[in-house]
Amino acid sequence: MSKRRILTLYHKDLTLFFKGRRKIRQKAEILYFLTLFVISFLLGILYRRVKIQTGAFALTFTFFLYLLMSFIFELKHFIFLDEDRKIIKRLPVLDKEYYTSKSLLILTFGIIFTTIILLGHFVGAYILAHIVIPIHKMAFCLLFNSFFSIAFSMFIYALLLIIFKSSTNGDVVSKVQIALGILFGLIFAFAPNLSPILDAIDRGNLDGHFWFTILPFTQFVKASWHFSIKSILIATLYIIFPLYFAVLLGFDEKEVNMQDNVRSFDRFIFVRDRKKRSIHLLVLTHITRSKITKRTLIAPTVINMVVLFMWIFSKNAQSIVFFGVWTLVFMSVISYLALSISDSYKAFWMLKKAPMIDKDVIANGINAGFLYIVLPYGFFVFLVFLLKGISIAMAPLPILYGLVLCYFFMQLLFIVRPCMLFSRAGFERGISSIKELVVSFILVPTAAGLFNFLYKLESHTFLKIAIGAFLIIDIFLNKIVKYNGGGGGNRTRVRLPGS
Amino acid sequence: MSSSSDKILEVVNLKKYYNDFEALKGVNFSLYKGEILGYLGPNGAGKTTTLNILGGVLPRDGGDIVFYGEPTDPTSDLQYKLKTSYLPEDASMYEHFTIREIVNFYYDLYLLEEKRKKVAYELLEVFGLSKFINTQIYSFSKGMKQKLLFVLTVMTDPEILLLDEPLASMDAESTIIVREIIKDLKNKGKSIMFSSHILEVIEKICDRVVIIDKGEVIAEGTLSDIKEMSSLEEFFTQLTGKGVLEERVERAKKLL
Repeated sequence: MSKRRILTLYHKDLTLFFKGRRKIRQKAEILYFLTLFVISFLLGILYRRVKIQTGAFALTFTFFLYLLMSFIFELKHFIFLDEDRKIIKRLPVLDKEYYTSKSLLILTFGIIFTTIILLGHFVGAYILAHIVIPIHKMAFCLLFNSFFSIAFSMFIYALLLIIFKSSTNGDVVSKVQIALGILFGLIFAFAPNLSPILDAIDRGNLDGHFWFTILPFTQFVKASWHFSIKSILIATLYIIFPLYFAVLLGFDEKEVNMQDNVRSFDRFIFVRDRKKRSIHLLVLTHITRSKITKRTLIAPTVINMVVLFMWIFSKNAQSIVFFGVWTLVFMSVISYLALSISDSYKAFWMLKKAPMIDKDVIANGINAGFLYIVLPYGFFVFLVFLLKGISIAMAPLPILYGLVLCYFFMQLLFIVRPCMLFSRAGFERGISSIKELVVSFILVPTAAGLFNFLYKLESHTFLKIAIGAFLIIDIFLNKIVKYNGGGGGNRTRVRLPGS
Repeated sequence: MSSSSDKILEVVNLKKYYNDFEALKGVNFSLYKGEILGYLGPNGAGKTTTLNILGGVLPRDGGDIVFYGEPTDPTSDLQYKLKTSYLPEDASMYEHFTIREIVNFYYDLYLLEEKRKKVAYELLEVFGLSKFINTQIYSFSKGMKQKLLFVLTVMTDPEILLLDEPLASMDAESTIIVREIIKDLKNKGKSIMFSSHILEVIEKICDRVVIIDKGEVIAEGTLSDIKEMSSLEEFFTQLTGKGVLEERVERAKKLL
């Protein structure tokens, strides 16, 4: 096989990647990329407000964006791709040809993405701020960013290869990606607070609020420059969510070892009705044992707790109702996801075959989700409120209000996005919901940050606006999928067992 | 041939489309009380689609399903669902259950009596699965899953068993056990629809066969009728295009 043939093979791979037809994970990556594109575009708009040498500014920021994106994009698809090793290495191809082709592909891949990102940046600057960036600066930005980020990413991967002596250890790569992603996020969150140099640059050149607005995870930092736990938590939140998403879809799902003597959940189910009991058993088993369901449930719950603790650190005790209701309503979205996403989705026929109508299956599933996910969390929130010093008479009110709303939202979500519990349709809808969640989680606060920057709003106000908009978008942005009584959602994609 | 009064299930002009593809083009056949009906056809003929519809897993796009003389909708008729049992080809289950839990799941979902649970546990012992009673199903091989699913299928004490390639991944020993259980169930008056493309098994256990190809029933009759003409394999290949098959074999030989 010639170099050209190998490149053709990769070209096909790359084309499919752009079309987003290969895997859900890659589609997610494209969405993440689009988000970065929008951020880059917004950055272009900001040229109007910031008086700085545009070339240096673009260079720094796009470098950061690209670097972060490179990690998220998982160049390991191309560097560690097992499939091509299995196929190509069996063929009479020299190692040199193989690696040259692959390196060329990575370079092409990197330049295409950097170009697109920078274009968003430059177009934004031109259209809205009427700033024309000289071509030589554009070219310099492009080349510098591409080569530097590719070289940096490849250096890290190469290092991992040397350390771990394995080209297939995808999990290690993912973990390093996450660690680096979080590190970058934290550096950017801490930097304006801790570095006197950056502080001086900021005060001297960047009109005071620059860093807060352009970097989504520092936009809630107050202008006082004091050490802010809230800003760090927010920064962590912004980094964890997309990375969590990458992890959710990135890791292998199946565990190899058999799990013997698993404790049965029968004794924890107090429902008397036998049919209801069976659905409760199914839900409880899944939320505690299915890896993907657990991940769906645990990570957003932790993020939700971060928001709650942000409130504890804040001095605004009046927002008790807002945080009580927000946190519980958010739990309804999480519960919906937990009840939808399962790695055993092919088994949905068991529920379809069961002597129970679909409506009852879903209703009992919602009840079980409410009982085992939302209520314990509500109790937790109640304790937090008490610790915060809210009186025992006042604390249950937002919780109760939130619980009622939560139950309503759970029902609403299952009406808007109907699917059988743990079915393939549920899986697909759930994954797509996570994508929307991630995108709206990044986009909405970024837009709110820009809004705040332009109109000088109070941080707390636009935080509320952002969260409210995020919730509304997440719930109503979804397309309504017709439930056809079988595999659900899309008839062309959903295949029944054996069909 | 059984009398029409013994007719327990009748499929009339059953149709199913996957977008523009017509998977079933008006399938007709009947299932009688106490018989084993072989449902035979090449890959992609529409066997699994038919069984998915009869199992209530997939909605039909046309035709009727008559159960004890009354038209029914398998996706919503709870009595029908209670009286039928379905074993899909790929043996997919909610795999985070342990065997004990999935038995309890079925016991509660189908509102079974306690003695049916005992039957299930004894059958699990027969199939050598009882030592894995507290093990999560996802770690099982496909053969183990099929055996477990067969136990669950029988556990609900159905009147009709819809079995889609139940022996596909089982070892020889289990195949014999399942075959004998199926024969015994037939003797006890249960009706079994047995889908397979393994002709040998069909020949050994079925009373009648329905042969389907490209979504249409192309032959139906008792095994003795068919055997008068030729072996089942010969009959099957004749119906599904012997000439084409021979041509393909020759072409493959030439290539190698």
